[in-house]
Amino acid sequence: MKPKVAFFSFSSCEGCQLQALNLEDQLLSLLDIIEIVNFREAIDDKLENYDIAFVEGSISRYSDIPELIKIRNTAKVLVAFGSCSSQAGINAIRNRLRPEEANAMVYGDRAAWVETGHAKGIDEFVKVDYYLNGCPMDRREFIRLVKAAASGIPFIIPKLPVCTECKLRGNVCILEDRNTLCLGAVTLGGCNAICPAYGHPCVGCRGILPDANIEGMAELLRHHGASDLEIEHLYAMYNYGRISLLTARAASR
Amino acid sequence: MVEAMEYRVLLKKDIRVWVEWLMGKGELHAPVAKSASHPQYQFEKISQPDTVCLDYATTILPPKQCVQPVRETLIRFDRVANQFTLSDQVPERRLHIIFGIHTCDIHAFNFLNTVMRDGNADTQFLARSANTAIIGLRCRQHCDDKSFCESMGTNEPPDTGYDILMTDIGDRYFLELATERAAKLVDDLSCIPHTGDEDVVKWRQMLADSKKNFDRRLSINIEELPAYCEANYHSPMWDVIGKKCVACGSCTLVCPTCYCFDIRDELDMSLQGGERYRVWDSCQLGEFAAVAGGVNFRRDRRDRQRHRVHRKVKYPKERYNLFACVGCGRCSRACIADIQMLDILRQLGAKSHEFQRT
Repeated sequence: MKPKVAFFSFSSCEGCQLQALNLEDQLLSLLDIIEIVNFREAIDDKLENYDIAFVEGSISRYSDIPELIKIRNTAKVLVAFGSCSSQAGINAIRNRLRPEEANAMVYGDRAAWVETGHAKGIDEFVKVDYYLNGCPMDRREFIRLVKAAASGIPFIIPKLPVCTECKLRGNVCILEDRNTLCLGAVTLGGCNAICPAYGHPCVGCRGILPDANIEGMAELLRHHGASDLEIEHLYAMYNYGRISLLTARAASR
Repeated sequence: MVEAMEYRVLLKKDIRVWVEWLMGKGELHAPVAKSASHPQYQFEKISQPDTVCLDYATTILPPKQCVQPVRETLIRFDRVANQFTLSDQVPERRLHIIFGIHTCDIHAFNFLNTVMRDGNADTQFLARSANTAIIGLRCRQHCDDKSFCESMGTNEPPDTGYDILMTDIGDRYFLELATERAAKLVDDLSCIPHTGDEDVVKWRQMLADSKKNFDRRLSINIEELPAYCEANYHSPMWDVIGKKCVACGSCTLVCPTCYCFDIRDELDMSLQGGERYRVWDSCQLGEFAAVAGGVNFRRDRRDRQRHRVHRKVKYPKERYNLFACVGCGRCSRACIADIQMLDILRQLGAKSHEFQRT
């Protein structure tokens, strides 16, 4: 029996679902090992029972929570799909404001029409079995996870920083070479350092490593000319949900 | 100095001819410039002879990847038949030629070959190493302020470990041919004639002059480094380093003598089989020393950095009577937190009397 796979979406751009759809030349062979029963970016049909649930997006409304719990209770394996879901991601930038303030900024005098609050990662509400980090998630990791889940073996992402893969690609370090502020040293790798490889700094989309040296990183970024505000912004972009602004501020002193 | 089997010369303007000819003999890896703003170089497989840059400060990554690729399949397994097959023990591959490597990197290759032969020999590595020709380059000065090859004795070539050694003697390169294979790498190319007496005189003069360009940057007795490490085991210098280190792993990945790898499995799309492969790893990463039961015996960055230094100047000295640090300075250049190997070794020497173990 092929495991049934479902995709669900909360506060997000649905870009991670699109990334799965972008696996054009591998989609057919994926369908040999799984059956997709719920995937609104690609199919209309929906089934209410499934084995593996990919949950995209962060939780930003109370009304989302029962839906998430239902998914958890149905799925044998629940995967946080992308950085919104794994760490509240870019949505959590609004968490620096009170929900009413953020609402008023976006919706003006119609703010009351919209239910929306602080963005949270899904593991604040339910148990998550696996994380596919990144904005968007990495397609090779997605395939690895599907293969592991379909054969009942654990899926492991080695806890190595982006710098490791960047070095192994033979890239010139953009922090050292161009003083471009980059979070590669403290961010979970697995993306094959795709941003620095094309000259764009790592902005931490795959999440800050659990044992990262936040103080040391702030110190060396300052040494490379960053202001405290720039360091805060760098961390806040994708990791506000995990590292409060206060921590980053205290760290950069 | 060991006498070469034969001497030749090559005019600088003819280097392109030789490089192109060598590309027909094997897969050629040589330094190329990587960045326009700062002089940074990398060993790359050469497809255009003009990209070869012999006037280079040392490369970002060492040439070890020409012998040990980043990722290598070890076995193929079949979950249905419950069998596995070893991948080729002696990989069949074209001759590889590493062109223009500095003497420090030749020393590093010699170290790796010693380690890989020890105990359970790494046959894959050794087979590739034997199938790699080394065309080295004698340096005429330090690469930059990070290198301290003179202090580690690696600005001079080792006795063995290379096929040809080049020296820049002005308008031409002086070539020392050291092996049987070397003769095949120059053949009877008309652009690489035998030396005249004048060339030899000029070469000897150049060697003598170059010596003066290397200053002693580490004024401690390096033979005492294992003892210094021992004495400084509990030194607060490791706390300072541990606070600065962000555990990116760069220092070990760019080290020409580091060889640690991780082993991982990857299933085929059919889920019926797959491969077990190895990939470069780093002792500076948090998970490196993590074992079952949630135990990690080098959890602190301080301990990991101390371990790295001991793996360079203490353990291999005690086991092989060799240093695993060749003074190339790559780790210091790659460190975004400005942790400097030269500083560490100086501190070890200077503080060795202060922190005696009790």
